[in-house]
Amino acid sequence: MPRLSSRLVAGVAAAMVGGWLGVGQAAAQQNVVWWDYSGGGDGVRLKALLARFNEENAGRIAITNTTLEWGTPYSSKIQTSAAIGTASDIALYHLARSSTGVSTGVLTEITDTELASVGLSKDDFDPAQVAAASVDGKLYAIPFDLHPVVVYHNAERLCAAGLLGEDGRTAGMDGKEAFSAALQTLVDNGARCGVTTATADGGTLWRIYYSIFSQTGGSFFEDGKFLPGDNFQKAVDAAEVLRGLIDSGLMPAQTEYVTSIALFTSGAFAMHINGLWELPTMVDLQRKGHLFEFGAMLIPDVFGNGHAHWCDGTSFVIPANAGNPMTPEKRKAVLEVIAWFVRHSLDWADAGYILPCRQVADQVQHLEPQSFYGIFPELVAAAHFDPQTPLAGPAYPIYDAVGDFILPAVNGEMDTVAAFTALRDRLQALQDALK
Amino acid sequence: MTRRRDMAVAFILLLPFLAIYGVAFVYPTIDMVVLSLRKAPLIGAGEWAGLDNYVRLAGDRLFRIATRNTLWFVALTAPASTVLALLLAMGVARLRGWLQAAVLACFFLPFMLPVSVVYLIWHWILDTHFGIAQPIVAAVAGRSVSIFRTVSTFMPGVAFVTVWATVGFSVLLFLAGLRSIPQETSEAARLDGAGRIALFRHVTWPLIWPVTALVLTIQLISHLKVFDIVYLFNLRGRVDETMSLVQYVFRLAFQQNDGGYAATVAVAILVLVAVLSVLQFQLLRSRGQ
Repeated sequence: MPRLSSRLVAGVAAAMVGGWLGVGQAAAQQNVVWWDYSGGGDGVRLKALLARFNEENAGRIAITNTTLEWGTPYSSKIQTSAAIGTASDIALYHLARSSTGVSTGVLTEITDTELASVGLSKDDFDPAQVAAASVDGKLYAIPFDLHPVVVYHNAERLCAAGLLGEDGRTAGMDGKEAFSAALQTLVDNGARCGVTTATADGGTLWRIYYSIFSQTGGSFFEDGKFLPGDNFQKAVDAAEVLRGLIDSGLMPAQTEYVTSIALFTSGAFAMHINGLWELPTMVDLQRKGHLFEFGAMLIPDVFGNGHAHWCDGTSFVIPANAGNPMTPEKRKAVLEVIAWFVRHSLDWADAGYILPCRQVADQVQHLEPQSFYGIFPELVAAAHFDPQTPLAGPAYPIYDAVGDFILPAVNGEMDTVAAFTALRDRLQALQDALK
Repeated sequence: MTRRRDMAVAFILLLPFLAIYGVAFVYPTIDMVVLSLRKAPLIGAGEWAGLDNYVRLAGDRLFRIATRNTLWFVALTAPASTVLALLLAMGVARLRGWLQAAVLACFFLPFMLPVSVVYLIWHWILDTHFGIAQPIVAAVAGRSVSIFRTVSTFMPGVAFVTVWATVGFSVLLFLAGLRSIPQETSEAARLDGAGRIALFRHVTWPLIWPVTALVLTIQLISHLKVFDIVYLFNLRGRVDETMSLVQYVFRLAFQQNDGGYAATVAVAILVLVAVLSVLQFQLLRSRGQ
């Protein structure tokens, strides 16, 4: 008995000392609250990175992360909680949303000095990324990855149709007629359809449509105006390209997102247009032996003006918590966290993303064993980000307008000119109401 | 003295409820009406706008479409669901023992599913390319139809799924109503020579009328406020042409940051639900008497 009680006393004493030490530690340690929207396969990779950070920085910085529902729920939560000073210290944010975030006062500016304090500078990123992360020349987000739209192809079917060159790259697909002819050749060689994409999904359709539109050289939004001057005709022309593919039976109409992937991975369809984030899906299937030889290529240059495609990026932002400003120590820790993740973005890039930071990208130039990694530099060069207006970004008014107007136009349920007139008027009215 | 004490006790007992009711319902409702008179973002006071938002409401095409869609949805679901529930309840009432429990559970199971699961199930069943129900659709329409991306088939499709998912609850209510009919009344009617149809018309139907009125009222109110299922099915599709009133409020407030006008539409919904509920209740009551 006495032994037990002495043990008890020792235990309590140890706990008290430990507790006291723990308190001392907590005072020095910065607790960083982190919000993200990565729930899928990329979420697993992100959580592994977070665990690694916490392990490496134990006692100094501790990140507590929460994964929230992507889209409108995510952005409204940030907006409403920032307004009452309870948003996270760091949030993952789409580059395309920067304008919205700044116009609603949700984001804080990240200065050159702050970047330099953690060994980063704007020159580490592509100018197009910096532009997408900035509003009025001020930087509000630090890019973590880039995710453009690509065309996945069934290499066996392309090979059989003579559309794949010796170097593993596609040949003879540039130009509107050539692309249609190539798709027809694939059908003639046994494919059920030339190409699939999620034609029933407004979000996907925007990415594909905006890619084709960017190839016209037009400007979707310029000086506060939607589709000014001859840009309107270019917008119609781009939609007609997609409508033409559906009308001629080379691309199926009204196809849902997951269905469009399944149609391709089943092997019945020759090509599939989607974001680079589906690359892990394809790679994983192939590793399990459930997928044919596949490749990824840039969307063909339809109008002869050069390649162009939609691109967005995940970035880090520091929410502006109203009435609850961040201490300089916390801010320093937050910047440190961001810099650490940017430097470790290679593990994240495994989720089908392109590395944004040159410091990291340069280190891994030699890691390009597969053909699709070979096209990454071209993908970055031809990237077109969403129009810079608070109406842009996932689940915001432009996406809505795509579902309401471009979707029925492309699927042949609405006259294209009428659809784009309605789209332009709707977006312009919303833009004017922002003033 | 005792009365006064009773009042005091009643007040003390009611106070927590009244406090929560006031803070969580009365105050936000008043605030919403005030917000509807302002040009304001989702967060922030904005500026005074008088009746501007209400003038805008009067000429708003999307508000008209959303109202039409909502009423169309109620018309498609409430009567069909009530009739179906009554028929099912009368069938289930004839069963006994575990068989009755098992059949009842089958009807009630979809009601327990989260709306998102209901959505996924039917989204797959009716998928244009892989849906197992598409051969039936193709047999009727002559080709595969994307039910939830075609404006004319959208509401009937969503109404069908809603009835499927919610009919179980109404079946329970009807079953309770049917069980409360005294055996003697039915037996007396039968002894007087009433056949099945006469028995239903003159005994069962009048006696379960209060339950019918209840079922219809519950559905009217809940379906006028429909949001989740319509939102899930028209997500990233033709929202303009297919959205419900509450969805319009969501879009204005959370996607377009137009808090003032969103509040105005919300006030309109409040008035619409109140007026229609009172009208229906009066109508059903007079019919019952």
